[in-house]
Amino acid sequence: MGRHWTFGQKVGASFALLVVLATVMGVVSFLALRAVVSSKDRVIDVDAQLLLGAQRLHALRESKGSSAREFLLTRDEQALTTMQQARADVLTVLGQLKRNVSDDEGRRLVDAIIDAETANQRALDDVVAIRRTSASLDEVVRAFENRIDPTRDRLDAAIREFVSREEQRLQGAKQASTDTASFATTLVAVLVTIVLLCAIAAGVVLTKTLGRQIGTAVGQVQSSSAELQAAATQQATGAKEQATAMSEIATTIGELLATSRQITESARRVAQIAEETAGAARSGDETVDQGHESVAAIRRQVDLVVNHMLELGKKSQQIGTVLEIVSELAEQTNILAINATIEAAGAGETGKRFAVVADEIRKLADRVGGSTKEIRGLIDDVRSAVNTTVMATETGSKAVDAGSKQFGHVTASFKRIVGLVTTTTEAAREIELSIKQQMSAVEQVNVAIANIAQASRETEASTGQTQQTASQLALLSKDLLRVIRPEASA
Amino acid sequence: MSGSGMLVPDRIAELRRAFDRSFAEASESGVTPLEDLLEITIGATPYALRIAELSGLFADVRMTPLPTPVPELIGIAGFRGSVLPVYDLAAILGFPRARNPRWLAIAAARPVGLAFEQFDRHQRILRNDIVPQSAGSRPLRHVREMFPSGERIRAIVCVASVLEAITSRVPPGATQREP
Repeated sequence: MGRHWTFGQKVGASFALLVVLATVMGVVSFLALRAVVSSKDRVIDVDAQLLLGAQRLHALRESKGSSAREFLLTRDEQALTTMQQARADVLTVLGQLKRNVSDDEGRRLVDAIIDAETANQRALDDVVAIRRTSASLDEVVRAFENRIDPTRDRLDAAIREFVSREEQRLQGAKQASTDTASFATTLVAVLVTIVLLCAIAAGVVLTKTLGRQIGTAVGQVQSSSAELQAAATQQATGAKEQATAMSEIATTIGELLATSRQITESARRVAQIAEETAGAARSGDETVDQGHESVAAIRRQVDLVVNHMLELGKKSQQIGTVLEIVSELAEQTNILAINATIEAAGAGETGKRFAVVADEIRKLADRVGGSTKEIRGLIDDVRSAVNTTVMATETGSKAVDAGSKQFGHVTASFKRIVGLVTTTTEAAREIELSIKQQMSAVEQVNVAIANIAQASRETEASTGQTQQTASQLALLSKDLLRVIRPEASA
Repeated sequence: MSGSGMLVPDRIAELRRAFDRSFAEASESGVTPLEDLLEITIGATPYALRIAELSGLFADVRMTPLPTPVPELIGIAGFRGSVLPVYDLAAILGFPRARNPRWLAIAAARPVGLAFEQFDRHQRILRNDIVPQSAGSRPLRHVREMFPSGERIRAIVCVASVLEAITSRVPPGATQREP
């Protein structure tokens, strides 16, 4: 899971751990200090006060004794008053000590001091009373020595015992306080050490982890910056080429505009010529219709000629048939004449005249045969001519048919031409309109190309900046890598 | 014919004059001997038959074929109430047999029909124009004389020789039974 923590999460977690440890350390330090302070306060407020009260008690006892001795020596009442004041202070101090003492041993020692002091005071009062009398000084001194000194010694002893005890207690409290302070110091030191170790561990872990991540990121940044630089270089090259291409395109578009104007003019001329062509085609259509009518009339005449020729052929055939009869008759006449000649030759002298007639008949038959041959030749010529004419007229008829069909085709072609020319006119007008729209569009494209060229130049400039930024980014990544991994940067 | 280049009225007048002249002029037979011939063509060779040796010329005579060992015999034909044997003249003269012998000439000496394909014309020539078949030229069968006809020399078939050849191919007994 820690592998997927973010940089902030890791830093936050480290800081949170350190804060927790610092808080614990602070709380522990606070408690330790408070314990130390409490111990010291108790030493100062209780034991030291008891010791001071004991020392003050001793001093007041001395003062009371001194005042008593002064009174005893001088009989000065002022001294007695001082002694009484001192005794009052002694009692006050004893009262305080008795209140401050917390154990039975202390209270016993304080009661012993009170008893000793009371005894001492009673002795003092007795000696004072003696002094007030007319007793001699020696008596007073003896009384003093006999009565006051023992109580004083006992009081001093009690006070010393109490002071000694308080000094011991103060020493013990001081030692306990010192021990508490030492423990607190040790504890704080341990906690500080733990916190420091944790901070060092967190720092090491963070340094390694973040260093690895940042190093990887820096490596990626380096790679990306190199790629960005290469891309920026390519982009710059592309922007230059694009700017050059845009310039060429602008030039080409200029030529295209000029060509479009020429095309517009040509389309307008085409439309005009197409309209004239349509008019000529309509006129030609009428002429072709007239020609078609003429061809139809020719066809009818040709049909008549063909029919007449066929009739002539039939008649010629009939003539030939009749001529065959004539020829047959002539041949038979000739045969008869020959046979008559033969018979005449066989008849001797009497048949000679008959032979002459037969010879004339034969000659006539020969002439008739010759004439029939000639007529047959003529008829053959006529039939051949008729056949030729019929074939020619049939060919002419076919040609007329073909011409009629061609005229039909021409008429249809003229109509198609008229339709196509009309379509051409409309197309030329549409072309003209389209070319005008295209020119407008091309002009817009030209403006757009100019904008693109400007954008390309700006892109080229921004690409330079990108290259510079990429270089700076590469240097920055190297610096960062050097900061993170000095060994790697070396 | 005088010629096809003449106009028809002129030709008619010429015909009339020639016809009248034939009756006006004297007969030539008494002055110069003449010979009447029938010009025929056998194969591609021009021949002629003497009218004097024939008794008739007919065309398109119906002939009935007969089974016979004589290859020149075509068959028989009915003619003027009698039946005649008809021989192929081309075969007799040494040519291949005619496929359609339309013409039939009947010999005067004997009742035998000679059939042939092409009859050209009747010709009357001077007898002096007839010459014997020359010895240097290739001899033709049954030909002894020749005469000029136009630019060609036409051979005169000797009908008697033909008849002799036919008689030599036919047994005598059969000949005697003929009418």
